[in-house]
Amino acid sequence: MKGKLFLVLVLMAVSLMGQNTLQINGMNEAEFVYRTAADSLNAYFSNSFGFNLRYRDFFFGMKFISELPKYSTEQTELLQNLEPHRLSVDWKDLYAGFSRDMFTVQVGTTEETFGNAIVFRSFKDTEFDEDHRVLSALMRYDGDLKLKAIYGAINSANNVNRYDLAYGVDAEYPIWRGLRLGGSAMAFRELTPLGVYGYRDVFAGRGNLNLGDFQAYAEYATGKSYRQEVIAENNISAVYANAEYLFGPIIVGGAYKRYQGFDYRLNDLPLANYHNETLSDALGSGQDEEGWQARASYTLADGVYLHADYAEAWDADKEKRMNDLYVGFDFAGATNSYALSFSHIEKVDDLFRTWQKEYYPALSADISPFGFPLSMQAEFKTVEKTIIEDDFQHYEPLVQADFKVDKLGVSLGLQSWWAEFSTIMESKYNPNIELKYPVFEHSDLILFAGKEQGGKVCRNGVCRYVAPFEGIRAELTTRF
Amino acid sequence: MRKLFVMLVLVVLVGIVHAEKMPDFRLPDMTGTDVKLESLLGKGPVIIDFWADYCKPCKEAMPALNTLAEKYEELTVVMISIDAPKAQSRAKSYLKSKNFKFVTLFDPDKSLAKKMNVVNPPHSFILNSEGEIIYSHVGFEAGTEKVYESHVRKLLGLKDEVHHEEGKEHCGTCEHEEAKEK
Repeated sequence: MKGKLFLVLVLMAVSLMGQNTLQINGMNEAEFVYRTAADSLNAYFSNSFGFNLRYRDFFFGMKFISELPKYSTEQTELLQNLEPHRLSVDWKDLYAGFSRDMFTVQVGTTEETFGNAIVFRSFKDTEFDEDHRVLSALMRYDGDLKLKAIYGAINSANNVNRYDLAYGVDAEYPIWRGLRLGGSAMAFRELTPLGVYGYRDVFAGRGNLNLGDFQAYAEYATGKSYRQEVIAENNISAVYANAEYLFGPIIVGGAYKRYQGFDYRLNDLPLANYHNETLSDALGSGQDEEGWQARASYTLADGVYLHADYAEAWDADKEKRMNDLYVGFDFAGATNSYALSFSHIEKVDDLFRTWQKEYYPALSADISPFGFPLSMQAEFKTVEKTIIEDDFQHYEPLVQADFKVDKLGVSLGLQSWWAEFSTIMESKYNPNIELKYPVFEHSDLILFAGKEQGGKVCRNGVCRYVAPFEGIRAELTTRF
Repeated sequence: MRKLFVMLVLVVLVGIVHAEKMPDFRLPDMTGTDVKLESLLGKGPVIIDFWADYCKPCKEAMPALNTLAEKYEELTVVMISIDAPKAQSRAKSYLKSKNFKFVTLFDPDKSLAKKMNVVNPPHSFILNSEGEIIYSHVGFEAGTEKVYESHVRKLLGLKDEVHHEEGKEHCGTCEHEEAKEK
């Protein structure tokens, strides 16, 4: 059935080729990987093909991804464990819609946000490689009054081949010059492990004030979880406010948050700290937390900036606490630029008797010695942990240099992990090299060899999230 | 299955020969007011750059793009943030502190980014005043801005700056000719 539907769509597309209003674009990413880590499957090939089609007011898009088992993104599992159950060969994106004037209707895989994502967000989390997108019917009207209505389903986390449901509406209207007010109402129906639906209804109101130099945002949400297995009934609430004032070269801002029972899959709470850190690694974000943030940036001179950001958070019993600090200094000259920063994150959990702190100075420089452009960065992360009575400490230095030789982009990196300075020579080292070459105008070939710890990486002028890896990787990306 | 594949290849191949137009969009700016593509067209070339706050090369590209925006009055530079809503306040603060001459828009649900196959930032598109995509590029390295400028100059009907300077001593009327071209 799927094949026939697809054939009909393709035939429609071909028959419309004579029309100059038909637009098609897409991308193909082919990847060959050879892992040197010991497992049952060292070499594999994966491919992702996606295209978008637009004809007059209609749009349509599909993405097919064939991939072999993913690398785990869990820090405890890292390179040694492939996850065969995460094997996937399927259409990951399939949507169609119609948009005319201010009215849009879309069905299929949907990414959508209500307000500041406190009440509802359907999204793909690239950082943690998690898919929180609903299959839905979405209607929106984008006049002065903005209206959205959605009815969607997402695979249940507890029952295979069953769905959780989410449906609701959102509206926003500019009631005064610079002031917009909005509101949302959402209902979530989540299957419990016993196969019955737990209910969660959420209502929210928000205001967005913009007076040029002064901007403020505030949202309050309240609701109820009921018919759950464990808790009979539970009131939930969320408050988030953010304000910023610009006077001359100085910007000062602050944020406040308080969340109770707001940890669910289809939202993405603002965390009110620079590094977007959760209060505790052992507690779902939004379950029980409160906190504030203060920040300021100062333009010292043309191209010279200073930035400081500090935040604290805690739970209701003050058993879990955290603080987050960032201080940065940027200098951007005509040919050279430098950025120096210091980050510090500390978390305490009295209940589980854990304490952890990580801090790292980072330096990046873009210079042109003898007219040869070179981008360099260095970071030295120190991680300290105390779990019950045991203390742990290690260092994670990182250096990277990027440069170009004609069209060939070269990125050299070295990352390490030292338990202590005396073991530097015996420690783990992760050297890597990435070469990027535009083989055609719309095709880039990327070769990677070495080891990397994963996470967000910026190499050869592009940023992306990658899984931990060890081996050789060849990628060919073609855009059309 | 083979038929499907052949059809798909046909669709793609024929699609390539058409000049691609930027899809119409409506995205919020810093104040929450929607900006439409058509309001950005007509004046001259447009550079659309998808960026994210976590992306260092994106931030390296900004001063260079700002220099272009200041140098060419007819050029419009549009920065579209693909940051998640929770990271938007940081992105807004960053842009405010720099005071760039950009149109700044936000696409947290990647509604436009998805249509343009934007996955990893920065990803830039250069449009002519009719909204046709003349050039696109993924990434930003030193020297990329020169390629952008060359395309912008072509769209403005100006000679390439380097060639122009090389030929300056042989051409006493070049400045006059350039003024006429303008």
